[in-house]
Amino acid sequence: MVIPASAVMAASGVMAASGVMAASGVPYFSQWESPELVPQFVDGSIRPLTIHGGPPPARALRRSTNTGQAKCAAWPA
Amino acid sequence: MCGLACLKMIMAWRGLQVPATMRLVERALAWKAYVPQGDRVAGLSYRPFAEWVAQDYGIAAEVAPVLPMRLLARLASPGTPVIASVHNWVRWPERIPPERGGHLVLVTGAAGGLLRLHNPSGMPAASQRDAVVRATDFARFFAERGVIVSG
Repeated sequence: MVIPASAVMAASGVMAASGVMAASGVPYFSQWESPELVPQFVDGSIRPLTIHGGPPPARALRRSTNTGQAKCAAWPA
Repeated sequence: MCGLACLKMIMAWRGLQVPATMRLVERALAWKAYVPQGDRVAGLSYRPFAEWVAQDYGIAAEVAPVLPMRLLARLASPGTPVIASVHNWVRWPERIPPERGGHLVLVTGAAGGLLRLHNPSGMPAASQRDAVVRATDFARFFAERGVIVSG
């Protein structure tokens, strides 16, 4: 069954860009290298490769701290 | 790589040639915007990032270690996007995140109590491109810090 994107957005609290918040016109780039693998990244069953090659250890990511850095924890810890 | 995805969006908006992600990783490492930490890299460091993009791409980026919501909402636009530190659960704005920050999104506008953003790790066709989130929801995820890209 195909669920319309609008329904997904409504259910998740994300609204479509329209009216006072029309599309920005800014090009979009995903950090997902393989969009078809997004669900597995999101549920944590697979994790991104590191820049040094090979999978990262199967451990939870460290929690962020307010250090002026962003860890880009794009997948659930 | 959320910060680099945001950088690619900014470069594309400005009509600059957008390098491959791994090329950007190399430059980020050279500028110590990313610092190797074991088998991965520590999160994006804002100041070296700002110095790097100014030097390499002529992008003026102001580090905002303290960035209140109202200032973010006032500043953010397609021409002055703000790279904002949020919890990655912002892709599910109805949720209560365990903490704030740790992931970067590109905020491109605000109006009427809403924020518009590009989320590099959003869900395809749902919360990626021009996602509109209530400011009150966004505030639960926002660490009130970021990088203002102004010129």
